[in-house]
Amino acid sequence: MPRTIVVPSGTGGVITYQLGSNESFTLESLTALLTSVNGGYTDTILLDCRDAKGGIIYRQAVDLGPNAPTFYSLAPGSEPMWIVPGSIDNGWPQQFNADQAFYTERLAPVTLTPGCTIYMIAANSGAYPDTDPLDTLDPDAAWDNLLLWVEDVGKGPQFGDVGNAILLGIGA
Amino acid sequence: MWRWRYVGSPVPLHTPVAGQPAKYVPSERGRECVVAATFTLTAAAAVADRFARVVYFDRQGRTVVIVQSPFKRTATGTQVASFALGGMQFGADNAAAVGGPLPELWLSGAESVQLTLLNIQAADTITHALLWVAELGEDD
Repeated sequence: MPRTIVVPSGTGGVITYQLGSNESFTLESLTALLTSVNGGYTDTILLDCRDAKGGIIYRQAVDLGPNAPTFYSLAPGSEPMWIVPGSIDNGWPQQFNADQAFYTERLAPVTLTPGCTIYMIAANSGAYPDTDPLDTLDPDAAWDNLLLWVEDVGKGPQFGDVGNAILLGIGA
Repeated sequence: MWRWRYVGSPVPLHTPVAGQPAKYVPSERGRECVVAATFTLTAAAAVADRFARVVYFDRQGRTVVIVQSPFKRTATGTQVASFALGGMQFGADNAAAVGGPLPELWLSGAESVQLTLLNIQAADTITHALLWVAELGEDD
């Protein structure tokens, strides 16, 4: 069955969780509370999953123009809230109400292995794609309660099982 | 070995008292995925920015996921909210119908789902709450 991992807090712009030496799981959902931010500095929230050597497995932009406090809720199959349909600003979808204290986003159901690290990042993204966001962290940004809901590998059904069953014609 | 008990089954929820969410706790015998969730909101006269949402909780009652309509209901009237796997946001502020996606999460007993509102008011009511649920079981 799924289990919950909680990281109480993170400062200096980032909150992280590193998998232990015998830990492998699929990320089923992620929530976190951004409690403070330097509004003149932070212009994006990112999620990074990196391997044990720091290589990027998976990255996504979560929120553009964030404010604090904002509660983030990400899950596979969810989608971005507060987006102007069809609106693109410099290549990014545009929020229509940036002062909301709540935001949802998609999440890839990535399977992570020992030594991988999950980062929720508040950064200045103006230097992308040439600068690592971990080098442009908002030093004033703080996080509370990174909550990961995970399914240990081989212990249960996975994302996509409902769709697969329907495609295969497995009836009720 | 996981096997299907059912891919689709309707689950009507008990109608909660005013001001409270509709709740669902899966059985302990397998793993369940909420494929769709629909309910009717009857908003009271009190003015507030209400947003229809589906909230998932772990065994300790901690919030693990929220999905929510971006469109609000401000005062008196009814609104049907419908969320589903693969769904997309639709509706408008104070529209008769709103909706959005659901995540594919596999729940077991003691984990739970609530159909509710952000900023639910004491006299607001949630009725006709209906889930469509898939269930997987593990062989003994």
